[in-house]
Amino acid sequence: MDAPTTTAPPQQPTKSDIAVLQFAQGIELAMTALYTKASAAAGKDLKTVCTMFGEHHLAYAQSIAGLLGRSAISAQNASFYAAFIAAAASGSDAELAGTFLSLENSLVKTHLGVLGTITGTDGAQLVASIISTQGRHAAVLASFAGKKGLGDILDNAAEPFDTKTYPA
Amino acid sequence: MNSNNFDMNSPVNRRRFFLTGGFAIATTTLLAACSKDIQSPKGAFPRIGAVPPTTGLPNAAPTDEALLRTATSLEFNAIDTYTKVLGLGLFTGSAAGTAAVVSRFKADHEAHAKALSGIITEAKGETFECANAQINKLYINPALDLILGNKEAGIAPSDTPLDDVMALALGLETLAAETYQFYVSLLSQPKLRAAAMGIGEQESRHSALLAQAINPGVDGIGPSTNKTTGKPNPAAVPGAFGSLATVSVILGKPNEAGNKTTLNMETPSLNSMAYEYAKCS
Repeated sequence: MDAPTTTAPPQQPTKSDIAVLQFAQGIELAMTALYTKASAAAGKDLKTVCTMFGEHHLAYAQSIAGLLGRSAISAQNASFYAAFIAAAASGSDAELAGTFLSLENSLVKTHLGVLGTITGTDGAQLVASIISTQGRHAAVLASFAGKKGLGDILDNAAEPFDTKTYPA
Repeated sequence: MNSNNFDMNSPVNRRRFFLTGGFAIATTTLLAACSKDIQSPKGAFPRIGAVPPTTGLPNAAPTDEALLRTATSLEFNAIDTYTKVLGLGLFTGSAAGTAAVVSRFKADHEAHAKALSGIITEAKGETFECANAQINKLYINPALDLILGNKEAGIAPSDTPLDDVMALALGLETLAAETYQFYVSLLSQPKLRAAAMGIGEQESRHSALLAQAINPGVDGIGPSTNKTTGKPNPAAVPGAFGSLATVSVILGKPNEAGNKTTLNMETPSLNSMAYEYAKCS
């Protein structure tokens, strides 16, 4: 393998890490708002799930904000929210779950992209712990969306969100 | 009676004791000095008995290669365990569908191992394509003994082997997911961290699926506690963030108090890594 580097990676987010993490924070804030809308539209069981998952996304946004300190943003990603609010606020439970399954899968891919970009280890550890749970979110939502195939639950062929499509 | 109030005719008195004791010490010292077997460097304590020589392990650091090799070894632990479990003939009747899930998981772990070996090879490292012996010794073999029984060790087989196999599978998948998450903090290169978590994320999905199979319904999604045992129930989403805590697996034949054995598993750390010098046996 490559010769091990003698310089330890930085702990804190670097300058280039900050912009990447700000994008992730904006998406997480928007996901929180989308889940709040879905909770109002969903049936009893899905409402429970949407409320729980929405709280998780709020925790992610807050944790990233804590990491970024004064560089944290205070507003959700408006273009992302606008793109998905209609689908997140109406439809049957299966449709709502399908929408959020797709969102969670894309968000996992987005965070994997973040992880492959940032160098600070604090940010990397945080993002890794978020990815782990968002994969679980997707697995749960797949069953609410009526997906029976193992491939629908376990595979993730979604595309990541990017700053060009969803500028902050 | 003499002036010291000691009866010299008695078989035991102080003078006789000192005489006899002194002779014994002098004789022992002389014999020890003449002995060829018991020798010690000047100033050191004498050593009695044979002490086999020890060979220290080579110095090794948890490099990226060692971490990826260890992750590969854990994949092989899962592959071997699922292969063994599929051969037990437990998945019949209403559990027949579970065999498909276990087979899919096994195939996923094979794909993960292949992907990791590919990354190692691409970086001109040496792959490690076998199970982690330490993980087998500490966790998997004891778990299988508790499920299947071990006459030599006096362990009776479980009354509920299918439930216990599911619990073990959940434990292994959770352990694998935690391992990748933990290794992100140790891997030096961002691209390797992303590759590792790409696999770890799928292990999390395995874990969520198993948790729902064991504890189904909306009550089994979030964290909850078993009202009888006071222990946490399996949960598809146990918390907002991926945990790095010890993974507890409860399995085996209940004891007289009605409790099953709890096996605590931890992510492979410094003493169980597949360092560059380690070879598959």
